[in-house]
Amino acid sequence: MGIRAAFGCCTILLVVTSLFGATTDSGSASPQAIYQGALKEFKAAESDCGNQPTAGALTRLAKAAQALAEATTRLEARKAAPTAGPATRVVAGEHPVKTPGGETNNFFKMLSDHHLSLSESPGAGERNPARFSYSQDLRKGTTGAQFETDFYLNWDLDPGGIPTEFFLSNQSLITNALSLSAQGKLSSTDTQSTDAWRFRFEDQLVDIFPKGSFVLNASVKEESDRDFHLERVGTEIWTTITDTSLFIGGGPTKSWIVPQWRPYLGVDIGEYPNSDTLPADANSTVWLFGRLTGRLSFPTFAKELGFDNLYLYVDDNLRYLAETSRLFNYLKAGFNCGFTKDLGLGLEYSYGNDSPKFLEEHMVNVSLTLKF
Amino acid sequence: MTTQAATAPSSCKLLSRQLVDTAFIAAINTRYNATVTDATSLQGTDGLDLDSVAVTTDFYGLVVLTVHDQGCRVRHLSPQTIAGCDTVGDVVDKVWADLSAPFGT
Repeated sequence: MGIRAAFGCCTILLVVTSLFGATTDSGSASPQAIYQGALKEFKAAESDCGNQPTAGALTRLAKAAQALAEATTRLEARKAAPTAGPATRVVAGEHPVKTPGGETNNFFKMLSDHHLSLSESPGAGERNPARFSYSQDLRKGTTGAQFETDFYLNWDLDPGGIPTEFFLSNQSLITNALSLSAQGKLSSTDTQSTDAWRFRFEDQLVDIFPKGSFVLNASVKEESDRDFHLERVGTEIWTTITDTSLFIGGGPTKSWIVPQWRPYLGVDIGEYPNSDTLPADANSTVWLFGRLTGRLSFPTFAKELGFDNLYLYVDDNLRYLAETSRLFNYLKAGFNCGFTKDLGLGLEYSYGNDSPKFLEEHMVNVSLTLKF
Repeated sequence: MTTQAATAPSSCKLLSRQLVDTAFIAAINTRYNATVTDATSLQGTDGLDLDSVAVTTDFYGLVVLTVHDQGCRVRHLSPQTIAGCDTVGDVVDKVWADLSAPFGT
């Protein structure tokens, strides 16, 4: 328990410090600028070499020539014109290097480069950002105000390669990816009911086929309330598909409203070693679950208002507890306004019964949102 | 069902970044029915607008398959590496860096 608590504290610390991370927009040099710099250096080195062909001057010239060759290749690649077929959807080509508010945040990029990612929950296709909220519990009226956080921190365990890779045919491929994760849903009050920790060791298998893909995510999971009084240890398996022709997982569009959705099906098998504080109808070894996430983005409207993104979303979780024959639904719906790719403000409404205790929750919150 | 592990490249055709770029853009355009350039974003609504699951699974698979189709094989390229890329050009850079890295690294 001590280790878990320490891991939990470290996770919170990392999440909180990331909020105060550097927010300067570094941008990046354009290929043209890199090319001009390389050319200048090459000419200088060439001149040096002509005046006095020492070993040092020759080395400098060789390095400058290599840098110039790379810069030229990059510049040519950037200039390569796309070939559009008449039946293809045209994607807006130019993604700006800098967007309002800054897209290339050094601190978040550094965390991402260290194979960490932060979002609100696992598997959420649209990867809604983690939330740090001021919430109102609607069941309690004016006394229900609290601070709350909802986050999912994932660490990729295999950044350096692919552990397994099987080609079933020329157009079918299976890969897998291992990771560790911590999910927290914590509030400043009412710690005995709706708060939860979830720690997972995950493996994700993917089968790619010509027009889509099938994903299977399996994990060993420990789930508990905030203070680890109630714990559930087990395994969780869920599946989903990607087919961009049906807007499942995305796909290029050129409209004012961009739809995106993703269905999930899964099973969760686990035991409560100590279930004293668990409601009787929530005590079940097998949970069958379905999940549907959806999003409507308004890119044109966002651009006109100077935001990075604006979208409405819904995330509905349905759990069927086999032994007690109880069906619990947990719905989250909201609106998010992103100042940058990483940071934003959100308004969220949640209603229903979430694990591990499946006690009723009815909340509305205003949040600072963050993902990387 | 017979599974066959990918074999080491014997006749890799991706010998420059330009060739990687051309192969990828053709593959992406075909799979997502789109017209992309190096500057097209993977997850932005002004680009391919893929969600994070699609990037680390569907798009990552497309990367591995495209490299394989050209007689090559990625060595140190994980789904998270692709997730860290903003644009198609970034992916091409990562793949080219992976393919052109000295053996044993």
